[in-house]
Amino acid sequence: MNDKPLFIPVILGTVRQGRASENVAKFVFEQVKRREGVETEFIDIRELNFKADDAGEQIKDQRFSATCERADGLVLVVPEYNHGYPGMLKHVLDSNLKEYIHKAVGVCGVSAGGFGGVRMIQNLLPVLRELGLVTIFWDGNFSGAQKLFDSDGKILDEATQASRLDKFLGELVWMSKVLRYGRQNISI
Amino acid sequence: MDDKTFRSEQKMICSVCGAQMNHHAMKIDYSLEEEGILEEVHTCPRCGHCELRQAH
Repeated sequence: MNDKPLFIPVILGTVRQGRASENVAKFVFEQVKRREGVETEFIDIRELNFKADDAGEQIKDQRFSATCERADGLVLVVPEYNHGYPGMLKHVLDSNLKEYIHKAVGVCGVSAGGFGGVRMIQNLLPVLRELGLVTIFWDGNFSGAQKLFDSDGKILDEATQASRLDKFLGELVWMSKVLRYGRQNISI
Repeated sequence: MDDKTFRSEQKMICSVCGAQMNHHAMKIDYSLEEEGILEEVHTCPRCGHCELRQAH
């Protein structure tokens, strides 16, 4: 069994000004960093500056693609906009394919209302599947996102949120390990 | 027709570290041709590098 640390980056999936998901993504990133045997990196899709006059693998960002290739799993922190996921996230995700195949992905939904992004997650799942990613069946759900943090972006009830996220990360780490073993050792 | 019909028997060698790669997925790429092209996905057990090649 490969005992190299797992690499599970956290992707903040919105470019919108004033995004509440940024605090959530930073909180999730801190939780992933604390996991033993896991390395991570924070990816803000706003910083990637993908061009908008083409799409798909034609607009690959070499650094982002290399990060996805190195990854064993991904955490997507994504707000729900009009029941869907941000178009810019789809634009960014579509720039890779082989880099994702048979890798684990977990989604943290973020919403201003009370459903924690569940409708967005349902819409995002078939996209992730088509990209070759393997979804876990725990989600992170952050309802009322504006009220979860103080004005400095510090989470107000860290113990509760960390406890909820622990189950999500536990399954994601397990799936990442299993799939890494499978990719490297089991042929179809 | 069975998927195995399309699968290349020749093992792929990692272009990064030279190790023998593991074939773990098939994928139709629709970006190249309207009907799609069947591709094999291989991952290197030594360095984790991933490569695609067209299935035969």
